[in-house]
Amino acid sequence: MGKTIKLISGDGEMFEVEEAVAFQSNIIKSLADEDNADDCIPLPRVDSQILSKVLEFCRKHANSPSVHTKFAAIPSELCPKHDGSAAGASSSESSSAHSETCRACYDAVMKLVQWDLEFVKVDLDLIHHLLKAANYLDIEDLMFMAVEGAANAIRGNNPEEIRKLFDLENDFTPEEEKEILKEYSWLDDPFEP
Amino acid sequence: MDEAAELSQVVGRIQELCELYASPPLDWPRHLDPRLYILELNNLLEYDFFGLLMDDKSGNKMVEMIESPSCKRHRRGKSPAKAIASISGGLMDQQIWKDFPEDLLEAVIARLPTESFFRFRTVCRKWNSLLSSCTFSQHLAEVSVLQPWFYSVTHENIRKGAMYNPSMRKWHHISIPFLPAKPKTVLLPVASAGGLICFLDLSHKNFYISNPLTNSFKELPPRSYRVWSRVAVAMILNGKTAGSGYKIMWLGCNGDHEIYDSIHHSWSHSAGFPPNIRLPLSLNFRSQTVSVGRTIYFMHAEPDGILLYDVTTGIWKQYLIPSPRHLTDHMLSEHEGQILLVGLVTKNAATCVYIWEMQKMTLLWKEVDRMPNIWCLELYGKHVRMTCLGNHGLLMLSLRSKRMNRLVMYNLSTKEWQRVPECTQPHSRKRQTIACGTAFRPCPTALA
Repeated sequence: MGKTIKLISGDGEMFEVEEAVAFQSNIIKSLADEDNADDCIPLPRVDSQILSKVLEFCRKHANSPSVHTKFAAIPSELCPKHDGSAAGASSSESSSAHSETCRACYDAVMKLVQWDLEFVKVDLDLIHHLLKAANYLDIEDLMFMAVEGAANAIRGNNPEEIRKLFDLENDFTPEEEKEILKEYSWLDDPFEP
Repeated sequence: MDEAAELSQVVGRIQELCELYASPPLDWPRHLDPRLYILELNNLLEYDFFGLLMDDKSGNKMVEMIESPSCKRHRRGKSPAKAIASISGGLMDQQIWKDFPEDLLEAVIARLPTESFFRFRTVCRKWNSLLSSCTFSQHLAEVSVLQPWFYSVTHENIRKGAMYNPSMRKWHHISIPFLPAKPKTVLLPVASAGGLICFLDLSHKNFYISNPLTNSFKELPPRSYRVWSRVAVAMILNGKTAGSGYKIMWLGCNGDHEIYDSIHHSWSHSAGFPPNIRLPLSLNFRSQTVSVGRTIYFMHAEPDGILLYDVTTGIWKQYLIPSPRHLTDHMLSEHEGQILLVGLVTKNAATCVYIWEMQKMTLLWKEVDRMPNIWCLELYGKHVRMTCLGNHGLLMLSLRSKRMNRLVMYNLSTKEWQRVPECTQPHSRKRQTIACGTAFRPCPTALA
């Protein structure tokens, strides 16, 4: 087990995780880099329930390429197939650029994306907490997935529910609303305003 | 900057001051009293700490929460300001989505499925105006649409469009808003890019560009000179979205070609054809053109091969690639930069759909997949014609014979074959057969 980082949630609970896990957060990474006397990093704005969820995400992503990474840019070290061995065709590839057609990498990234999509299939409350935490801790991948999760959570709502949720007022006249509905009447949507 | 960030910034500043002065000195200016700062911010945030604040007699809220049990743990010698910061973080959640940052909201809306987006247009004016928002358009461009939609014209209803959404497995029927008044006009979709579809009328004279999801459309100016025969049409974006402009190119069998630039709204005649490319071309009109990066690919026969045109340099190239044996209907496709061939192969009475990859080194087609045998059995002994819609990532194949009409979806990434629900007339069960069509990326903000 490598070097570990101790994190303290807003409600005083301590989490000890590997560096690779904690450093998914750019904020934690920069805080740890500073020469701190104590090796505990306080995170007052994240409570233990959310922090444990966030760390679950980070653990999964610790040794995987970011979902943003363009396929060809995945370094060989992160590929599940080419684990440093110089066997066969991979020996001719440079370590900085990975084969675009590496099926193992593609599958690994796709699997991770699937896991992420399941991870964010949660209620709006939790999504909101995750978004705030991802923003506060600057975890790009979690931010990205939480936004997906938010879209997924609200996609089935009708306009009135959306208005309540985001505290918006219906500033259309009934005629204007009818016009808009006519414009996309091809959708054949069962929803009515 | 949202209020929580503001709050923490101010609180941080107060903490700095507190640490500087250990405890507030007697001559500490009153307006710098940390407790009063919090009260001021409380007003800014316009909410009460839900009973944790007590009204004192003068009506000012006192910061009572310091004594509440939930924050006793925070005290540890830290300033009360810090305690408040952490608690207010939790209480802010009562507001949940009401103070949601605009940029994040646009990112969320951009990830909604198309149907949900259109449904939410009636939420309020601001959401409806996202259709014409630049920032929202950028968000849309960043979201990778995993599955395109398909726009087709059916034999039974040739003046209307039938759109298929693969993720919901649903057909939608739309009228073409810009259909010219002339009763016999028929418009066929020939190419698409960035959410826009290029239509060509049957007489091969007039081009139209339209976003099928909205009413946005444009008629292109007439071409520089009349072409009476059939042309192959390509559409390519200048940048990442339709917003940065697009080009339309037509190519005739005698090598004539022109390019339309949406920025200048005009056609330009390119330099002639290189002499080493044999004319006339026997262009494969059943195949759609394919654009990869800045290159357009046209398919032709006699000799079998592919013509490449680089839009930036204007240079033509030709690859002579022998077609697979017993090939009948075939068309070009593309997946992640790799050129593919999709075609029907009929050997004796057996017909099957094959997929080949172009080998750049040897200039040969290499078979990479074929339709499952069980489905091929259905085609046995029948004279089948195939139309292919879509040529990036997801293909819709229409397989037709006298009495059979099958729609099949092939996913180039997962190599999965799927059945597609039949396209039926709205309000009736009458089956419709696809004449031609194209895939397109559903993009509500694309403007013709």
